[in-house]
Amino acid sequence: MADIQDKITKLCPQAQVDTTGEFPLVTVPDAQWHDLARALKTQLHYDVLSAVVGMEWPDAFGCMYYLTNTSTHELLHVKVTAPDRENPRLHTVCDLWPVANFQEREVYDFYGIVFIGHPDMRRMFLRNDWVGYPLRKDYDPASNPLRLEDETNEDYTCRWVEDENGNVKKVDGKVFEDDEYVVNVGPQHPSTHGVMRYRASLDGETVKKIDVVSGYIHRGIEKMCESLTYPQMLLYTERMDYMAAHINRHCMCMCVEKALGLEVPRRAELIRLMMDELMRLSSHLLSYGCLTMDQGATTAFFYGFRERELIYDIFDRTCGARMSMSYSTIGGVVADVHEDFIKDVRNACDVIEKALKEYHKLFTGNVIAVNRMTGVGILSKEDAIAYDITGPSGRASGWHCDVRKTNPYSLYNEFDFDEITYENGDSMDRYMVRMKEMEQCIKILRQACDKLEAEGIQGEYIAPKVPKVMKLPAGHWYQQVEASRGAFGVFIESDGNTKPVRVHFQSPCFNLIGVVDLTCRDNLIADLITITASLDFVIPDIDR
Amino acid sequence: MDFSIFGVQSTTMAITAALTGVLLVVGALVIAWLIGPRSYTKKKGEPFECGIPTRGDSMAQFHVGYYLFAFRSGLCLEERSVEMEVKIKSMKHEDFKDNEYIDNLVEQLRAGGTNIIVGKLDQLMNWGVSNSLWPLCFGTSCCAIEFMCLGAARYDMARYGFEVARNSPRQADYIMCQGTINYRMAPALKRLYEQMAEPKYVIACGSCTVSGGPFKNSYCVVKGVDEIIPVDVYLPGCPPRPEAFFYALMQLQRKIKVQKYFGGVNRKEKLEGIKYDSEAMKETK
Repeated sequence: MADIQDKITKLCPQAQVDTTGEFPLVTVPDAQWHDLARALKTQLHYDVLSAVVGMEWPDAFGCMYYLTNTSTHELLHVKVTAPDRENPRLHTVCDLWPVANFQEREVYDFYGIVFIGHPDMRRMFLRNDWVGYPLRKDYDPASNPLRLEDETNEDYTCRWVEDENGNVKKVDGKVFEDDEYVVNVGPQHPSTHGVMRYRASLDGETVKKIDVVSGYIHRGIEKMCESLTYPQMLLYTERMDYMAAHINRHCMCMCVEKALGLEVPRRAELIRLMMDELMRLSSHLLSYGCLTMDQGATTAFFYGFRERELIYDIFDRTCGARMSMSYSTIGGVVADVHEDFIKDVRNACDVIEKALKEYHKLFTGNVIAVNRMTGVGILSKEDAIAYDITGPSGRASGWHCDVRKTNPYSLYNEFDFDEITYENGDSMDRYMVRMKEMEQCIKILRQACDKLEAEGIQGEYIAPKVPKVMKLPAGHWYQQVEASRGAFGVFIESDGNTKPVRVHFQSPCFNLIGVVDLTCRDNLIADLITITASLDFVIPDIDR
Repeated sequence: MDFSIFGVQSTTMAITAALTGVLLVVGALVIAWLIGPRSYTKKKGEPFECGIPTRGDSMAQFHVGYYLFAFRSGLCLEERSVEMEVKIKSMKHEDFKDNEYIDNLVEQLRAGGTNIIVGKLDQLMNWGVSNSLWPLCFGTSCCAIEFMCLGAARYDMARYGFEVARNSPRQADYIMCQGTINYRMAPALKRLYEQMAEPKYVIACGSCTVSGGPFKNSYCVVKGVDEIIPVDVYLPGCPPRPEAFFYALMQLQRKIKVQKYFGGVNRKEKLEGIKYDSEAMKETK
């Protein structure tokens, strides 16, 4: 840690490095931030910008940047404060990390922080006639009643540019030219997997540009969390990526437990891990079903859902619900597993293992599937890193980004499994990564069954001394896990009270929409559906 | 050519067949025009664009080659037919007599008395409509996954005639509104509802659509879809189990079974210009 302190002070003498926390925290003035960012990326290999978190401190607005080193997998936090509170402005970093494009638009949407040099400074989630910035502490909800008129001015954008003297001015721009042929897909469309909306500019059948319009299921979870206690907040983690409900909740629990210094019983960790893997299995089965149905293979969809019901039954018996299980809690899990749990899991593993072979026979080798997916929507490894595409989609491009391997959490150290990576990064590879990952899930689950059996049928499933009133020590808390679709992170800033000052969820799907334009460009419009299905995103996870 | 079937000339046969065909189609259209409930709004006449107003001129020019495809696919398009032959066992009243609303409705209708012929025709209509309810695919979040389970093999809603999930509101009978509706989605939902053909129904599925659910305190979530569109059946749960979906669908069937097409539609359609009084709606809930 001292090493990094020296390196950063050498790069930028104005930066202050604080190494007392869990991760090094660099505080840098906005004027020096862009130069430091460039140096961090090119010289210190902080290639991945994991998250940009907009913040409001009592005296100023600003951002927290989370950087990950691709060679050592170390995390670095950078705190940048906007000098002017009335008109908060920061310099963009989306020329260095393209993933910052949407991340910064989100910050602008929530806090009104303008990014100088950002090419497309529009709102991200809220209506473009929205008044005010909802995550500011002084936001008045009455200023935005429910409006049933349609949105207008969708084709116009703007950017802020700075001249040599440091004067900033606004320049208007256009998303699409007037004579472009723009096809609207969504929000009510069966193949966007929810309420996603694309506006595709076409030349004949070829896609020239895609403008992603998000926010049709934005629910303001981050703002609501600020007025809730930590156990109350857990509920929302399950309703973001509902196909990774256990995993997200696990992440939130781990983050709070880490801050409280709470020791979780080994049995509870084991149960959580098994639930995580079952969830991943269920999610990949759904992804198989939807991807096949989007390409016309309706029967394959029924096969995928047939096996998912087995997993639902396991959840139903132990947690009491098929979806939104509310099973993990701070300190462990809410109840011990059902007496038939291990038997059921073993059975599900056997059935799904057999079914996977059937799936391959049914769909993978099919000539239509091969022709529609091979070589379509290629995402290179460099782009995957630049856009922070984690999870199966990133691994299909050859990037080793599995958090279970790079920063092992829970009990993943004890398990023997492989990280699946492919090379081409096309739709076929993304599909294959998921299919192969299911085999690894089964491998992990079988090992976990043995371990849980060794523990006995019943045991300690929750920490004996969980505090009734949870007050997190003041500071930043961050935890990352490998969710079904990539690295999911929870960021909590606490001031020592029962309620947090700021909660941010780093969702894997949010980065995935950043590459829709990149991967679909110059492909046919019909491939848009295949590519987005193979990227496999869950819309409420994007919008939060 | 000179041949006959059962002593009838082939030309006569052909003309009779053609006339019968034309009469069937025209007759169906005339009957639908006479008795079908209708609404005309500006939004209904717009081209369907996934719930979004059209950008620019919708009369765009295409390369002539595309017309060949369009012609071919136009030939393959299936017209919707009324599925009269589907027989289902509907809910018995004794098993589900917990719905005061429908019981009251039936009482009111009985009090008015019904013409015997018109009543029988209504029954026939309602039998047809309630047994071939086609949903609009409208899932915004978690509930949509359970709806997919409903369509898959284990729960298999095809058994009830609900199976044909439509992607265009023009072909759908009801919106099963699954998942949170926020301020950005609200105009799109309203547009989709208005673009549906009559008769149309709405099921508010899941806590979010009933009242805003866990997101009630949010700055941009609609506190119940009944602020935007009229709701027929409320289905609580977060998300509801597939069994609950069936319950809601069968409640909707029961509601349809007591509808009158002839002599006054009992379902008062509120059209253009209505402003839903959300306070009044909350009281009746």
